[in-house]
This record gives sequence, C-alpha cells and structure tokens, in this order.
Amino acid sequence: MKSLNIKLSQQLADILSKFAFIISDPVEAPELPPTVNLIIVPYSGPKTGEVKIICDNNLGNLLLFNLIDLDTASDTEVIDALRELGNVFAGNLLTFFYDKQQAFDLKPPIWLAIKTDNLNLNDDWVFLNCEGSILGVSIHEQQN
Amino acid sequence: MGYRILIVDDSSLARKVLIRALESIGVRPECIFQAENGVQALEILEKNWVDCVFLDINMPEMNGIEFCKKIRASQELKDLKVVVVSTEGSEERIQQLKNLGISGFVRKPISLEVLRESINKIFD
Repeated sequence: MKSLNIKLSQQLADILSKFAFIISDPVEAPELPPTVNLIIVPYSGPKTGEVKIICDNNLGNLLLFNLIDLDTASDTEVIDALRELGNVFAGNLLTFFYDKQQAFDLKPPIWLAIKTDNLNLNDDWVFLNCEGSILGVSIHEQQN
Repeated sequence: MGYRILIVDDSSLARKVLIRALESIGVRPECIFQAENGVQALEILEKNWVDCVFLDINMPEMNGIEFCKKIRASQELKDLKVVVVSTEGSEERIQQLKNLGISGFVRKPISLEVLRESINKIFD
C-alpha cells in the first residue's frame, strides 16, 4: 500500500469513528457488488478536483442506525446519509492533505448508482471494511 | 430552555444529528425550524423570530456564506446569532466567517464539547 494511501486510510477511519462510531480496517482489492453508490464531491480553491466515494447501501443503513437509531431506512434516507458522509469526508480530507490555511469551495455531493464494471478502480482508491460494508475513497486532483 | 432555533442544512440526517447533539448537551429548544438551504432559511426568517441559526456552508441554491452576507445586509436580521456547523475548517474560511460576524463554529463531525462552548457563548 502506498504511504499516501495509508495516511488516507487512517484519516478515513478516524473520521468514520468520530462521525458515526464505525470501526473500519483497510482492505486491498475487495470484492464489490455489481452496482454501488458513487458519491462525488467537486472542490475548487488552491487545487481543483473531486473526492469520490463508493459503497453499498448497507453502509448508509449503518450510518442511519448509528446516528439516529433508524432501523429501516428508505432509499432517499440512505442516499442523504451517503451524501452527508461524502461532504464530511471531503471537507476533512482536503484540509488534512492540502493547505490548512486556504479555503476550498465544496460543491454539494452528487449521488449516482453505478455498475462496478464501469468504474476505473486504480491504485488511487483506498478501501476500508466498515463492519462488513466495503467503502472506497479516492481524491482525483485535476492536473493543470 | 425556551429558545427558538433554525437549522439550515441540505442533509436531513445532518439536521437530525444536530438536534440529537443539542439534546444530549441539555439544549431542548421550544421551537426548531428547519431549512435545506439559504433561500428556504430566509423565507422562514421573514415570518418567524429565532434566537439562533445553526448553519451549514456547502448547500445548493444559496450556500452558508451567501446566507450570512444576506442577513448581515438586512436591517431586521443583521444581529442574528449564527453558529456555523460545517465540514470545512480552513483558517481562511473561519476568518471569512468571523468577518461575517458568526457567533460560533463547530466542525463536522460534531464535537459535543465544541458545540456546548458555542451554545454557552450565545445563551449564557
């Protein structure tokens, strides 16, 4: 695992634990379901790019259960929870990895259901096993 | 405590989490208004008095920065207490928000201690 990815994994695990009391461990090349949720958070400022996360619905359900005791969530509630997770990740990761002084402008998270085969899961992606759910995260910086 | 508060966040989950966090530190407002963005928040404030606004930054339609600028330019709303609850935490952003007269800043994920400090500054 690249040293940057190790740092990213540690930071993600810390955020997940503080945000929703979720315990997570890094995993490499996990098996993903055929379709996953893709959350994209575009950012601009000192750098421009996107924070992307992929996961299954179970992670959304886990967030909702841990945070507001919701046992049975609708699709809308799961998507809302995953979008908020994307927002929390993006804001925290950008100040962790880039400049803590300069402000980034985040756009509201975009949600898509996407076939796993259509994703380019290269080495930039970091995966965590979150109490049985797989979460993938990557930061795609636009090259000028 | 008989406070009237407005929570502005595009995430329904984030609003619920904040309400729970407030309850857990003993803040049980008399009335909680909720809005998904700055536009909705301004509509609520046209018709209702609130003691404090809890405001996210990253929202569609009108974000938290634009909302702060609008209320500071308004004769009726310019003194409204605002606590920003946001995932963004750069020094530049916090300074920008201070210049816009916010009363507190709580970074997501919410720390109850930081939330309590912000509330105490406003309501004590």
